[in-house]
Amino acid sequence: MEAGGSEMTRRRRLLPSSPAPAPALDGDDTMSEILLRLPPLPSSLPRASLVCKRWRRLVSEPHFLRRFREHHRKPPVLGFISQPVAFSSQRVSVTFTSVLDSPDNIPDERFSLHLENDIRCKMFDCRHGRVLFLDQLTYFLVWAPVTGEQHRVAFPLSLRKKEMSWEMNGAVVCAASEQGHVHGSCHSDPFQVVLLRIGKHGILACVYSSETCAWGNAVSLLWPHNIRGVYRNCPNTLVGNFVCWFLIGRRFGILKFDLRSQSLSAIELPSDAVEHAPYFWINYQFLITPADDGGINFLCLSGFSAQVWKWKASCDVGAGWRLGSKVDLNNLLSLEAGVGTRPPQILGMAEDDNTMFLVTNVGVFMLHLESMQFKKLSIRMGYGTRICYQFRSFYSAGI
Amino acid sequence: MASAGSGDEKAAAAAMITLISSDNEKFEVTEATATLSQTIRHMIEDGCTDGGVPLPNVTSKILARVIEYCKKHATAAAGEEGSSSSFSDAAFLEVDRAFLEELEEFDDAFLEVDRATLFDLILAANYLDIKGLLNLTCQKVADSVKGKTPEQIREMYNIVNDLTPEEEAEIRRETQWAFE
Repeated sequence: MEAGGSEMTRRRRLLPSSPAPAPALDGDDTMSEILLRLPPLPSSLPRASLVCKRWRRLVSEPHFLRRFREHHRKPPVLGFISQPVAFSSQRVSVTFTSVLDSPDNIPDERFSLHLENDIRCKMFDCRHGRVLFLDQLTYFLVWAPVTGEQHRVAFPLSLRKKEMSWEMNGAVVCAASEQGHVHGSCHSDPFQVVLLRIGKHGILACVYSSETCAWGNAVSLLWPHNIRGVYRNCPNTLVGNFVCWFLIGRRFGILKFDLRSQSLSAIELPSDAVEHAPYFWINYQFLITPADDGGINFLCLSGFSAQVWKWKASCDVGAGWRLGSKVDLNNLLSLEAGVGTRPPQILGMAEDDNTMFLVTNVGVFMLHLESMQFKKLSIRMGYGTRICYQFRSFYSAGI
Repeated sequence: MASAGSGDEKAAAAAMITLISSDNEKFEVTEATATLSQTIRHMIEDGCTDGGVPLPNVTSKILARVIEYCKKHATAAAGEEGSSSSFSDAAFLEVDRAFLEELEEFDDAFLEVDRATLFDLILAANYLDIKGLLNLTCQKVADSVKGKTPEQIREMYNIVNDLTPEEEAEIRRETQWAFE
């Protein structure tokens, strides 16, 4: 450094008249290099495009937008999408709540939806720019909030057989196969819907591909613990190639659908994870979370106490759950809970970031589940809000 | 040995490359330093460096700064890998924390330049294809624009607004929230 520095001062003295190039970046290449390093927030590209014609042209080129996504890798969480408890039997509503501060707080109306003709539809998932609704009896609806596009597809006959006790569940994932694909603007790429039919003693799964417009073969799994269903207050989680759901019944378990091999499997939860008094589990909240090592973690929140179980599948002595750390959210988040303070409620999670969102008596928090670092958000959400799904996107409003 | 590349004891015995700036200044640097530039690396691979590498797009003032950057970062890469391979993301991750911090401090100090120099460094980094330097300098400009309104950006960088009122209205109509 010293050599370079002294050389430079020497050279400045020797060459006072060396031409000083005009401070301009005329090449589109170099200008694009700068623009693709703008933050991936919704206001970045609209603002840049309003600077001049050249910037506008550069930031709207498809090649630039692809590089912009590749450079940033992870789309930001723009907000939550949730289905409030219906007050009207005439329509189904889905609301968007931005979690970003101005000027990136997209108005709630932009990604909100009212369905007049799908009044039995319930929201079951939101991932890779698409929202999945299931009509319990006959079809699914996939909605892409950015484009507004909707797909309605009838359930396959194999999953529509009548049986005494059963329910449906499902997940939506992007099925883009191009190498190096970065999620976050997948609304025009193909998608897959994994549909589950859960009966008392077993589960059927079937995958719909938007590419072929067809359902695959149904696969099944028996579960000997009197299934009560998939717990609706625990969203499904994508961990690597597995979509995971939380099964409740006489024993609890994690149901896994392998997207690659298209097969179902399940892991029983440790018997001491949840107290087994009848219906006592309603005092617990659960999340399935991706572990740092690519495995599956299971978080159990009871009152103010969060406990993490880690599934270890690889060791020779046998796969099993290991109890991780116990975290007191009252202390961690400085909730100053007194008698009668309502414990935190899980709002949802950002699976790509291993982050959970919580409503507490003092506001909404986002909490990273490995580092336990947290941030209080400036949004307001009340207790009793149903599970929310994070909506992530490189959205830049049609730029 | 009075050249810009002379300070690198570790690589003193290594092959030296002569770089020639647009104003005909000669800089002698180690191959490890020079090959942070993909452009120069390819020239070395093709055996086209005898008699020096002319860089008609880079002035001596900027080339001296670029070499300063490359020397520091080549040491980082070589120190960890024990080789003279180019600085890569993987090598970067393995360098210990203290050295990383030192490198960060160096980068921060390196960016303390006027705007004209910063732009010239970007052009040079792009031309010489030095990924780390291009990332560093472009990020600096991008950060300066972050959170600014279009009017503020134009003012900062003397950009003339050549959008028609119709075009402006069209952009604003779609994304009014982004300007509030």
